[in-house]
Order: sequence, then C-alpha cells, then structure tokens
Amino acid sequence: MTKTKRTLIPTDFTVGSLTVVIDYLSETSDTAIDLILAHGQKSSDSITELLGFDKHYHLENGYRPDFLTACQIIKTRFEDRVNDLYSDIISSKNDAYIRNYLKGNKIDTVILPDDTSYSKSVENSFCVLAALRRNCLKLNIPILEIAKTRTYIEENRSEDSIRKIFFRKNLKNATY
Amino acid sequence: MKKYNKTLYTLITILIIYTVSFSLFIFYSITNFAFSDFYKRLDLRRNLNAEELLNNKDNSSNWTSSYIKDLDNQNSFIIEFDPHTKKIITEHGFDNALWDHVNKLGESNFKNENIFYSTKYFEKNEKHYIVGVSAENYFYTHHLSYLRQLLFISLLFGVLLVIVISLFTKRSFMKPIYAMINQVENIGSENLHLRLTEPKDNGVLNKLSLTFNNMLNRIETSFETQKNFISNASHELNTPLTSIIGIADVALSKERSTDDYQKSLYKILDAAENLERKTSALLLLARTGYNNNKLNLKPVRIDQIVMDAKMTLMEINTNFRIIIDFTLLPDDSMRLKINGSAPLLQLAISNIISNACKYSEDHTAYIGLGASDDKVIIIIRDEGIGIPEEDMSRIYDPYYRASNTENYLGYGIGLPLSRNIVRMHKGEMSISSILGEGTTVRIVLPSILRF
Repeated sequence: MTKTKRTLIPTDFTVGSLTVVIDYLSETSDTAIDLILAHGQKSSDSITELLGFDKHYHLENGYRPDFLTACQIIKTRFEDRVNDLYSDIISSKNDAYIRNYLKGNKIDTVILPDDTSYSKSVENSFCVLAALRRNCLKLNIPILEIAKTRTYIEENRSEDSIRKIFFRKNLKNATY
Repeated sequence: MKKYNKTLYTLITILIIYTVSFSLFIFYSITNFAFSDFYKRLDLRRNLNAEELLNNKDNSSNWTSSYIKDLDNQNSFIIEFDPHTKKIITEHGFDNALWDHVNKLGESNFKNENIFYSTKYFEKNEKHYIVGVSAENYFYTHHLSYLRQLLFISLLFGVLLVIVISLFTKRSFMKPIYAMINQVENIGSENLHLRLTEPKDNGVLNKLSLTFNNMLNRIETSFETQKNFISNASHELNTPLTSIIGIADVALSKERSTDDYQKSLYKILDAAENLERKTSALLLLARTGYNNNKLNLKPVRIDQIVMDAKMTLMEINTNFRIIIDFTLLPDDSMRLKINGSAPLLQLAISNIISNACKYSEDHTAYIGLGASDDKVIIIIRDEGIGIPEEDMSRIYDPYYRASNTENYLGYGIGLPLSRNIVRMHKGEMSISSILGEGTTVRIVLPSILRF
C-alpha cells in the first residue's frame, strides 16, 4: 500500500494562492497526497480568547467566498491522487512551534512559492514562508520551490476570482 | 385576515379571563384566610370569657390579658335565654337585632358590617346562656380593601399590557407581511425584474419571499421568452441564414464544377441543419417556457456541449478565437454530466462565447471548465470592452444594450436568453466586468450527482 504523502502548502485564503497547489499537482507525479493548506494567523494575546480558541471559527472567518469552490474544483480534478485537502492555521512564527507543528502533523514535503507577496487576508495574518523555510532545513524536510504561476489576469482586480485558477500562462492542455 | 384577528382576540380574551380569575382567586383565598383566622382568635377569647363569667374564675390576676391582647373594639357579652321560646331573658352588651344570627344550640360565627361575632351555647344551673365576643377585624377593614385596590389596579394594568403587547406583536408580525404585499402589488408586467426583499433570518418569511422570488423568476422568464420569441428567433436564425445566402451567392456568382457545387451544397446543408437545430431549440423554449416538467432533460456532458458550441461558432465566424482550459477537468466524466437539454445549453453557451468574441478586439474568448462536488462551473471571459458599471443592473433586460456597444451589431437578446436557459436548468449565471478590461461570465449548473 502506498504511503500517504503529507504536503504542506502556505495559503492566504485567496484563490490566486491556489495556483501553487495546481502547479504542484500538475508538475509532480506524487500519488496518495494529503494536502494541508496552512495559513499564518497570530493567536490573540487575550487569555479569554485563547481559552475559547476555535480553529474552525478562525478558518471560516478567513475563507474568501470562492476559495472553497476553487478548493473543491482542485480536489475533484485530482481526486485520484489527493486523499485529503484541508486548511489549517499556523498561529506563531516561533521556531520551536513551527518545528513541533511540522513534526506533529508528520509533514513530508513543504511547497513554497517563489512569490512572497501574500495578502493579509484576515486580521493578525502573517507570512509563514520564511519561518517554514528556516525550520524545514533544520528538520531536513524537503522543500519544493514552485514558481508561482502568473495568471492572464492581474491579481488585484476585483472581478470573479475563481477564474484565477483557470487560464494560467503555462497552459499545456488548452485547446485553440 | 379576519380569521387571524379573530384568533388574536380570542387569545386576548383568554388571557384576560385568566388574569381576572387569578386575581379573584388570590382575593378570595386571602379573605377566607383572614376570616377563619380572626374567628379562631375570637373563639379563644369567647371561651376564656365563658370560663370567667360562668365558672366564676377570678380575673383579678389578669392571667389572660398578659398573654392574650384585646382585639380592636373587643366587646364581651352574655345572654340568658329561654330554650323553648328562644326569647332573650337578660342580656349584657348585645345588640338584640342580631339574635337571629346566633346558633342557640352550639357555636356560631357571623359578622355584621365590620364587627365579627363568636358565640357559644352554655348551660349552668338549669339556666341557658349564650356567651360571645365581638371585635373589629382590622385586617379585613384596612388591609383587604388595600389588597382589593391593588389587585384591581394590577388587573387593569395587566389587561392593558396584554392588549398592548398582543396588538404590538400582531403589528410586528404583520408588518413584514404588509411590506411584502406592498412589494408584490408594485410588481407588474412592466417591471417583472423587481424582486421581494428577503429577510436575513432563516424563518418562514424568508422562505415565503424566496418562494415568491422563485415564482417571479419563473414568471419573468416565461414572460420574456414568450414576449421576445420572434425577436429571439430572428436573432438566432439570422446567422445560419446569412451563411446559407453567402454560400449560395458565392456558388452562383460564376460557372463552377460539379464538385464545387457539391461542396457548396454540403456547406448549405450544414448551415441548414444548424438552422433546424436552433429552430427546434427556440420552439422548445417558447413551448415549454419555464416548466421543467415538459422539458426533455437528459444527462449531457457539459464539456461536449462547450466543444460543440465552439465548433459551431468557429464555423460561422472564422475570425473568432476560442481557448478552452481543460486543465482542471475532472477525470470522472460523471462529474461533468448534468441533466439538461443539449440544444438549449449549447444555445446559451454559444451566445455568451459569441458575445465574448464579438466585443473583444482580438475576438478571443477564454473558457474554463471545472467541477466541484455537485456542480459544474463554466467560466467564459474576454479582454474586451467590458460593461459600464451603470449598465450592469440592466444587462438582463431584453433589448437593452450597454452604452458602449453602439459600434457592435446586436439586439440585446442573447444574454437574457442565456440566463433563462441556465435558470431552466436550476443553475446560476453571474457576470462581472471592468470597463475597458473585459468581462467574465460564470455559469454554475448542478451536476447529475446532486440528484
């Protein structure tokens, strides 16, 4: 039986950030993958909020309207290879925390885009790329660098965002 | 409405009856308690009095008064009477008018105005006595009347409160319904695009508005389809007709070989078949309106429909460029199947692709296809002239054309027709656009897996 590969990909909950997921799945032949879309969101300093911390509440607050639809499209497209696809929150940049997170979640590979312009989608969001890169090296977790696909459309346009996962410039299967 | 009011007034009456009964019960219980308690206290004093008067127990030591305090206006009396004639022989401190109230053979308690009486029959030395005590019940005269006033005022306030709250509740219940009625009354054949405001809560009113709006969608679609059938037909039939005329013109322009004529005739045949398909689709649309039951829905593959639409358009318009992104197409073909009418869906998608090509300088349309768990998603975008923001609200109006489309041929029918068809398939169509940058149309259709 093939061992499930647990792959972590950072996300800022925008549809644009999911192009890395599509590129990773298109460019590799990995099968049986668990995809974890990790979002950096600093936890509150308030003790009451920490006591009542609910990951799902924060995740639901962070999702953009089309993000879930785009995730479903990706999951459906690669359903024979992706066992599971879910979002998670990384709540600190602290090295020890990141290492524990990577070990605890048994992450086998981390996919990092070359692009660091992640948007602050929700309050207390932070970019996890540097912290992940630093700690993966310490833990010898392989990092796969993926050039973030430029879409035909500018990212900042406030139009229908779901199309960002379509019409990527390195389209191989488009028919003319 | 009358029935509703009747129910409300019945409820108010029941509440008022309950409140009044509750107040009366409280008043009766307390009065009853006040009477029985006071009579017990009188009985005790009467018995002590009898001991003192009949058994000559010396009262000089005042052994009773140190323990038992006199009541208000307490008065003791003794009556000697004849048991046969029941007539008073002697009496001390008793009002003879009350003799009838006295039980001549035992104990009796009665009241005259505010004075309460307790009497008992005694026999001594063959003489017959009635010993009694009378006193004023302070609790009865003062506290009970206060309680009566208090209960009366509370009752009045209670009743008023019940009426006010009931009417207020009725009003707050009825207000959104009246608002809905007003909105429905404002919707006529000339503004069928108007919809009812849907309350944010998930209650029955929301469902009612939703049902009304769905009904209006059906009416509007049916209305538009019927009203614009001729225009739709001419719009849709014009392209293959032009093609037929063009090919025939070219074929007849000079003497040609049999092969050339055959080729031309095949092309004419293709165009005529295309025309026939569209005629059937439009006839179907007009005949069925929005009624899904009459639509011949079959499982169809949406990627096939998109490809067919592309082929048809490319044949008619050679300068059109249509790029389809299949990279996110699921492997499982079932996910791309929907219950639908292939000619109608092809018509809808062709219209949108045709618009995308028509309004772009490079005549290029980009089509993306994907599927989620139970939906098929089609994205059609262009890098054309876009739609001005002020026109966005009216783009589905039949014959309405955006203000920047003067230089482009069109009738403003394709988009509403496409939306009607999408709606007929229980799908959704949304358009987003930026002026001068392009337009994106998203069509979401329920896949066969949902059913």
